[in-house]
Amino acid sequence: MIDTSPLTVRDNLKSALAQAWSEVARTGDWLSGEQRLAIANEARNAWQCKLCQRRKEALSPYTVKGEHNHLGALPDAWVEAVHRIVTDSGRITESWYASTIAAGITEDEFIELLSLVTIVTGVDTFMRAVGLPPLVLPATGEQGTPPRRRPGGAKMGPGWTPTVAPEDAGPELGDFYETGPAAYIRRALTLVPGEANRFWPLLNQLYLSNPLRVELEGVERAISRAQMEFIATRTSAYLDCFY
Amino acid sequence: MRLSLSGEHTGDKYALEDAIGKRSGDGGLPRGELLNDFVEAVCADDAARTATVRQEIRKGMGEAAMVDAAAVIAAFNCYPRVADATGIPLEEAKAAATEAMRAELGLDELDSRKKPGEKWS
Repeated sequence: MIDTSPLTVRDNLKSALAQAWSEVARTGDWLSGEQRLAIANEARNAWQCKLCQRRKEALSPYTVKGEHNHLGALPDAWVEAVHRIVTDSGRITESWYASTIAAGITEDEFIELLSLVTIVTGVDTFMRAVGLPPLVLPATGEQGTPPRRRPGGAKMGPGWTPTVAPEDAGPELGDFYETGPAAYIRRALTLVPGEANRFWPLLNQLYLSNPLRVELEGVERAISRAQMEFIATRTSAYLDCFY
Repeated sequence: MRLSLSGEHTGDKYALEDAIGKRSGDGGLPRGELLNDFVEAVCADDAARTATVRQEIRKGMGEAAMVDAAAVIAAFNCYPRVADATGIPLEEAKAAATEAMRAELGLDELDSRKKPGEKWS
């Protein structure tokens, strides 16, 4: 869709968007292609959920009970996870996360779900912002069995999910820690190495591969570093995120 | 938070209150108000307003700038979700370096600032 539009998008961003989208309905590390496709469709559907809208308007989302408007392809706990991440991530709590895991989503599945939901939301946001129609999802997911293997070296923290620290990283993560800063945020998805390696190549092009650089220093962008940070800060604030 | 570091590096003074939405403004940046409008329109899913601002950015800053602004908005619809859903805290050095600024802007009051192990509503 981007290729056939009259919009000029730099090649590295165009490639990253195409690559990320091509992976959405493929067999993942922990989830099947069909599960991933169902999650992607539910992520888009979450914006129409009346329960999520009522929760968003409430002082605390945890006081509003009810049923989500969902597509019927995922268990309830999965729907709750997808909808909360999409519509009210800024008020996610550790106890909400614990209840999600207690309801039957493994920590590894949660990380893959989180990454996938976030990629779909991010790509949809980009398309909406530049005035192009949303990318089309395939009708069926790839057939295949996910390996469902946790990488060596995974330990709890620095947040409430396990991650693999740079010093504990094994071959499953490849050159992940050599290709960007080892900030906590980059560790967040390392429990599922394949997902970390799907998420970050997209973010590197949407934003920067090394956010620690104070100025662009030769990186191809048509707005200044300060303008990028203004947009970043303003958008994070919109999602009630301090990060 | 990196906006303040960028300002320190270049000697520019940016209005962080604008960036975090405490007031509407340009943040002290060239075309800041237009970029602020773009963020608000896209995040509010306001198609008509987005189209208008998109056109203004194209006209005033060029199409490539509009695309890169859209890309940063998209990126920051991703980072916060991952940080918030995993409880990822700021590194200690970053937290220390930004303590005064966070206090001034009230960022520590946000729910997403709570650390793992703290009690939640």
